[in-house]
Amino acid sequence: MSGSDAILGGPAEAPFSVLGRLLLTVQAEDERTATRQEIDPLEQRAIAAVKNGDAGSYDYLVSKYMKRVVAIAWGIVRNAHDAEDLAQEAFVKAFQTIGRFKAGEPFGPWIYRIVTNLALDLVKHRQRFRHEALTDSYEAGRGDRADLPAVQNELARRIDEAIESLPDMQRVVARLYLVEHFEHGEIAAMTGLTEGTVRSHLSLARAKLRNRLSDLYGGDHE
Amino acid sequence: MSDDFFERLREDAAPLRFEGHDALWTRLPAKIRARIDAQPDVTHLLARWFRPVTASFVTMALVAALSIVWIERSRDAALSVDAIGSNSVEITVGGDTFNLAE
Repeated sequence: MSGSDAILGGPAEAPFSVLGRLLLTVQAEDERTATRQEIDPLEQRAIAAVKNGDAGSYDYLVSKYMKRVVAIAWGIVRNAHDAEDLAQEAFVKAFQTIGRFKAGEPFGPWIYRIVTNLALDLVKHRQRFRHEALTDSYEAGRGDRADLPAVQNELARRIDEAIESLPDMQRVVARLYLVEHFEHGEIAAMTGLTEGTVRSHLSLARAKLRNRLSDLYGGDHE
Repeated sequence: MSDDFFERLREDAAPLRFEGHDALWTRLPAKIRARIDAQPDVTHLLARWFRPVTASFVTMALVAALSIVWIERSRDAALSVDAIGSNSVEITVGGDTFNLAE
């Protein structure tokens, strides 16, 4: 049962509820796109100042994006300690190469791409040393899941397990789409995949998730 | 891809986003700040670049100088042998002069 289903009332309220639901969806979508497309003048000023050698102005960018950056990293590596290190590395790398950053562009997509690449590199590195990964990361993963506020939520726990059971790139793409609420184009830019490949990964992930969560969301009726 | 199942899943998966804890959000900016402050300034960067470049140039100059000296010496040696060969030598024995020309 989704959260928005609760908005829907009885049959008499149905037209209003559907309208309300539509309005809510449009509003939520507007908020999402607005935050993505609007250029923050403070951010642009901070970037310009950092480019001119004022390292202190970088604090604004760090405080604005750090939570999302850590969340993205954590979603890929599933380890709080590694996620923190990756976020740190991403911000330092962005600072070192800020001279190449195009003026007028939002900082978010750029730092998200950097942290995603770093996190994917770490995952690849772990795969190369699979034995180490099997002992360490799984334990770390379980421990980190306990840190999630959703641990009390059985539904969220089931979804988390289902996403984690997916093959690596499907898992990463699905998590960025379902948990972090990024759109296809944004995920493509972050992961270096084409938008078509992102859609393909999501489609495969969708089928597997639907099958795995059929008791919660109903069977396979396309 | 924006079907009902995925939309519902998107809503229900929202609590899975990593929220971290206060200590992390205090520690992380401090760590980043420390790393950035420890970045080498322009002078250090230039010094880091110039040192190996200078060393390479010095080595190349030394090799070039030694090569020139060696070539000059070889040329001088060749010239002196030629000079000996081309010059006639006169030897006087008992009042008779013998010429050892080519």
